[in-house]
Amino acid sequence: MTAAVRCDGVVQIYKTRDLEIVALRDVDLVIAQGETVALLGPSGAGKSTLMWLMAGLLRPSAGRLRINGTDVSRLSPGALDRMRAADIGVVLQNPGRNLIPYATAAQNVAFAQRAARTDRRRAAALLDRVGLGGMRRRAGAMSGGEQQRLAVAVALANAPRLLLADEPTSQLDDDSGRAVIGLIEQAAEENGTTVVVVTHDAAVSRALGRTITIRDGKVGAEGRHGEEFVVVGREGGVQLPPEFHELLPPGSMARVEALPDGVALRRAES
Amino acid sequence: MSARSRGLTLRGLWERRGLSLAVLVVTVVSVATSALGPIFAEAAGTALVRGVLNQAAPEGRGWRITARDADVSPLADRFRSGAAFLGTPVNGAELPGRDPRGGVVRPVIYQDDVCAHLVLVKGRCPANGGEVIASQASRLDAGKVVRVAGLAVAPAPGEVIAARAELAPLRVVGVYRPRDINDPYWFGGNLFAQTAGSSESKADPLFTVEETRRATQATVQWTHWSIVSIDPTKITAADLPRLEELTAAAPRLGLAQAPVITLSRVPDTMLEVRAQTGTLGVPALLVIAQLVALGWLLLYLTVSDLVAARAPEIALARLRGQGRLRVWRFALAEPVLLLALALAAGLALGMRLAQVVAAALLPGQVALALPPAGVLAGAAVPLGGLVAAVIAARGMAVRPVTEEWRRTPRRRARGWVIDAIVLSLTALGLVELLAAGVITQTSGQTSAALAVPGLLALGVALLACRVVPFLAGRLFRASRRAGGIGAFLALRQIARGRATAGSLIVLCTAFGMAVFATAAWDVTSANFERVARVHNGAAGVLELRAGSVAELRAAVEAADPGGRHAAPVIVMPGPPKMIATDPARFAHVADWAAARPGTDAARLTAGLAGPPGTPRLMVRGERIRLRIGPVKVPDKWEPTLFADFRVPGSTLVKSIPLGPIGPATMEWGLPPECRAATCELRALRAEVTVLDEVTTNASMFADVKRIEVRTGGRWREIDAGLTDRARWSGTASAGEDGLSLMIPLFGGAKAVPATFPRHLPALVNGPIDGELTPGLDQNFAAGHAVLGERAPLPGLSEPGAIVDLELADRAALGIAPEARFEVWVAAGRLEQVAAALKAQGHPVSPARTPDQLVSRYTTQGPGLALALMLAAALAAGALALGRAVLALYGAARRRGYELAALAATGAKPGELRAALLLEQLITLAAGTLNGAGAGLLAARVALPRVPEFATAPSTPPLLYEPSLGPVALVAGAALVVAFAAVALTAEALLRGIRADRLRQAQP
Amino acid sequence: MSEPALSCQSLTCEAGGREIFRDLSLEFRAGERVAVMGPSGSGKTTLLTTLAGLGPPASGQVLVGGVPLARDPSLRSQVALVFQSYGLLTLLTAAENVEVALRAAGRTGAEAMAAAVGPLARLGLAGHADHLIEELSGGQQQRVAVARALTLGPRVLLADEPTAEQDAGHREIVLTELLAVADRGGALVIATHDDEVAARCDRVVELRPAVRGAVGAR
Repeated sequence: MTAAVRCDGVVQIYKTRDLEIVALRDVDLVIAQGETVALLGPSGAGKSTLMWLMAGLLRPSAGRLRINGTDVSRLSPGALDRMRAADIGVVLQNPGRNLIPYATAAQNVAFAQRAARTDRRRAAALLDRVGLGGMRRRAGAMSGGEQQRLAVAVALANAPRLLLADEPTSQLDDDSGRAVIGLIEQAAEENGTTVVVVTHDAAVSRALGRTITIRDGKVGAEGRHGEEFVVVGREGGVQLPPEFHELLPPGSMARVEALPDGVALRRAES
Repeated sequence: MSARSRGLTLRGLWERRGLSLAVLVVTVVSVATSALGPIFAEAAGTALVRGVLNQAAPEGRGWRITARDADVSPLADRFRSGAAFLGTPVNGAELPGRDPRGGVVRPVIYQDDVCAHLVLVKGRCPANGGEVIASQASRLDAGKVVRVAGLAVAPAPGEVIAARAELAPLRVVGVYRPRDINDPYWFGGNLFAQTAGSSESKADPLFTVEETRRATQATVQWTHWSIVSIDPTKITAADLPRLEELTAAAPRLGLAQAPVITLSRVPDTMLEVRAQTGTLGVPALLVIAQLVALGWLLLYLTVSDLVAARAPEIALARLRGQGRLRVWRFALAEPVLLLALALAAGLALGMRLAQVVAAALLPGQVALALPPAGVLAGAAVPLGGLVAAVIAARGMAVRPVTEEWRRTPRRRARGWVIDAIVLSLTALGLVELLAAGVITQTSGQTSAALAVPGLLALGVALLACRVVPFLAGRLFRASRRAGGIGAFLALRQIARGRATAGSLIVLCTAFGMAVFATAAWDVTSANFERVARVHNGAAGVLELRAGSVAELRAAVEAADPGGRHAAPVIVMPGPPKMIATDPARFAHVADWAAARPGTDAARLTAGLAGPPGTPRLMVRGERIRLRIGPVKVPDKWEPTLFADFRVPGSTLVKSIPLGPIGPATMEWGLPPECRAATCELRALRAEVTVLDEVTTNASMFADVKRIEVRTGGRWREIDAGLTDRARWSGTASAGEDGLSLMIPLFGGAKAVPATFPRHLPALVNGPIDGELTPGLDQNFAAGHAVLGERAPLPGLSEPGAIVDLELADRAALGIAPEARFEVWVAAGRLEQVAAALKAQGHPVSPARTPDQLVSRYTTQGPGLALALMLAAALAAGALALGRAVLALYGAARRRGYELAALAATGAKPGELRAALLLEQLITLAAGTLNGAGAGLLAARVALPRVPEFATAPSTPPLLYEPSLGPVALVAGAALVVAFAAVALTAEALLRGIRADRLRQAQP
Repeated sequence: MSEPALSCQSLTCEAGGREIFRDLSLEFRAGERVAVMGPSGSGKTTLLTTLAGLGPPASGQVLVGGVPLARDPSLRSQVALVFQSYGLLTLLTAAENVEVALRAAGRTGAEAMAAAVGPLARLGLAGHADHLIEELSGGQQQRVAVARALTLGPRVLLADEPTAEQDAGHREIVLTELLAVADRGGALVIATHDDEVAARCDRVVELRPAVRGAVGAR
């Protein structure tokens, strides 16, 4: 089965006035259909960049990125737009940015459906599902939690195969945050939508099946079902999680010992 | 647009109602001021056309299509078909009948609806064939039967030609009197000579109906005609091309059956129309073009702001995968809707404004219409807004979506390429206008100079855009050393901020034009006033019908004994023009302040009177007799003596021969005019004829010892001063023995009483061809001696001279009919003097005042164009100021978060207010003052080239120094308003800085 | 016992009609380094801005050195705040932003220019001192905001997520500078969700949403 997202050696470089910033370096990643993934990592590590690449809003500077089997860098801008309209739903971090503030909830969902197919019934059902069925107020007048719930409904308006959310709960209180995550999970279960959520909230990552930690532009660690694993990178590089830094401080030397199911690293006293 | 998306668009407009309102207001006003031009120009054109037509003679207002013995009404109908401004043709015909007895021509005429244009004194209008009405003056009473040679009895049925050549009887059923001979109905034909008093050749016509023609047999031809007149109340400027076509087509009208002659003086009228409307076209166009461009600029900035404010939504549309086209449609929906609405509203406002301006400036009532040019000019503005929207939207539709969510947008410096291009074009345009115009045009004046202020202001604006931030940057160091944050912040904001550039350009350009328009209007008004005062000559000019100079003087003396309020003036048109007047009174009454400011008029005019004149030789009687001393007549000479007289009723000299010189007494009859009125002896002449060839060059002398005149049977001597040397000049000398005539063989002798100097002292305003003035007799015999310098003189609108009335009278041989008798009145005395003159029984025409002239100048093309420019430029200036304030406010509001943070780090509100005020004031003041400077510069450079009059007056010279008062008023008002607005917005901004904003994360 | 440098008593704050926290009482002493933690929406920003005196609380009071802020607003100058969104003037350079704060505090132009140099250099911005804010990256801007707060040498330094945009290397530099405030006798309060940062502080205050604050010990 085609993977929902497949990254092969994706590199992303930004240019500012004097510098070039390497946001992602050699990211290798496979996300299967229907998986729910949390992208963790400190700020500036490249999570948002990766998400924007998956949304088709940026083209990778190098490497290959496939969404649902299609190579994104081969698509024309028009085809990218169509893909975004039909197959990808995006929820941004700031609730206000996901919506047109002067439009009602229904109008916002309809706006998202403009590029694909207008399905009023589906729209109404979605709004009911997120608990905004009777909402008459304009989007700008809703609370943060209500806005973000609406944002999820909007993202799901076209029944996308891939749902991307950038820190959807960071500006919400606990209750609203939980509600939003619940909605996202529900979407994944019911429709088999692949979900990728960028977050630094541990609670959110616990609710999702798999966690991928991005550090300094690389995939550093992964977690499945609560267990953390380090990922061996392209050149064999491994990022030690912070809790092990005391045992094996960064910059120190270690010996590698072979084990039947892997390797052990022992400090080299010097 | 689906209902849903329209709903979204409207909501979006309401969400950003501030910006939407700004776009709406800017567009509406810009459209209105742009459309105002063509609407007004058309209305002015119509007013001009109607004015010319109303003043034209009937022949100049229509065509008279005539043919003999053929009906021309189909031609007329075809001619006027489709032209609503032509009235219904008036058809008629004339038979040149003769009175059978006397041979006097007595025409028989019928014309449509003739009785409506006559006064029926007795009887009724003819209704049946054979009935006529006759004029009162013809003494044909009702009931009489009249016959006319040329109109015979019709043949009986069955006959081809009447057996008897009997004249048809015409029964007079009514008596008429003509109502108004100037009615265009009569087309200027002089039909009623008999009523007017002259009856030698033509009697008044007999009016009848068409049946008469069919009921009789004509032995001379009927001439048919059809009169087609232009209706001044229906014609508009838009009809002119059609009218030109018709004028060209009229001479070519023809019929198969008979030759057609079309009489008309419409081509002359059209010349006048073309001259007048021509002076309006180009200036109006230039003014309109500049206003459209300014509107574009304003709109460009405002619409860009609106589209930029929608950046988040546009990014959202792209995020949601909407295609390129859909994103564009979404981005442009709001501006397009606004622009369309504003176009309609703006055109309506433009019509209303045009009505107001037209009511103020144009004479008469002119209904306004929206010409296609008006729609185009108005639509050009929103088109510019659309371009702006497209450019702004393109930026947003094309750049990566993720840019929108970056924390701070990257700055792009304004390219200098566009600036350089615009500046070079501007410089080229200016050089072209100012330098080339001087070379190719003789007067150096061209309407194209009206484009200068716009170009110059734009150039200065672009420069200011660079210079002001640069200067602010220069002051960084100084502000860094000083304490406080007000100037520190303000300077950096100006040097680096983006709102500055747009506001500066718009303010500078708009104010440049506004100041120029103000200066131009000021200068033009002053010139109009001065020229009007000089051309009119005095505060009020009354025209009098007096027979003689003495009558005129007496009337003035009676009306104003004091000698300071009224002056007698006789104007000879020439050219060159001549004004003869009483110098002392003229000094008090004429408007010297306008013509020669600072002159001592009394001293200047005193020289006109010249030395006291010697008494004139007035004679009245039947015969004149001269006593001659003993003469020695050379051999073979036959000398004859003549006397030249000035006689009333003529401007030519009347000569009588007194007979051969020899006997002691020479006597002859005076000219018949001298019996009833006084004549003046103007010269004694002697001429010699010889019978054979004579070789000697001798001369002879004759002494005139006495001159006597016989009046009522008695001879009386006249005081001719024959022994007074001072009283005679010419080839004669007065001495003890009397007046001694020196008579040569060839050339004759002439003794002239020295009642006036050979060259009359005259005040002159310029070089006069031929050095001869017309004189009161229009004989161009009087030379003149120039007093003082050649400078403008009151009352002279062209090169001319002012002379003393008394001397002019003495020098002239009569008063030519072209002479205009006028009474000039000083300011404030018009009513008084007019009443006094009326009381004496003199009919007095309405006074001519300088105000009437000013009003005429104002309604000519150039005056109208300048008025238009003033109105529109001031509106544009207000708009630019408003927009600049809004832009600065908006930019500051977007920095609200920053300012709140600054307040939080300890900055006091007073300092923040100072920073905001300084920043905004400096920008606004820089724009306004630079604009004012550009406007003044443009005024200095371009005003002398801008035509102010339809035909530039040759005198007095026009002045081009604008008085700084109005300009200072405009700039000062702008600064005051700017200061008030800025203070208000700064207050609003500071209030808006609340701590709550800081609690929320910045979106 | 001497008065705490900064404290609040029974502080209740509202925003948008909702209660953010109720009846909160905290103390911060000179030389202390305190981390304030809690999930989003728990009111960290609101707490810090209220402590800095930027808006009156719904009820309760804030005291600087034992003196209520309401009674003597000039005490606000002793508390410096690093905003979460930096609050910098985008059209000024980094150095000018720091200078403005100094000038607002009353220093003369020359003094301000001199004093701005050090903190910027220590935070690794020496080469960027003359760059406009809008030309700097997010992380650099954040460091300018920190420098601005540091320059004033305040009695209490409140920092709202000061390392959120920093990469590993710069995070260390910023933390070092902030922690040094306590060494100089000031009080440091950092709102963060980064455990590493919390680990470097003396104590942690955990805020749970809509409940009274719990003073968690480390």
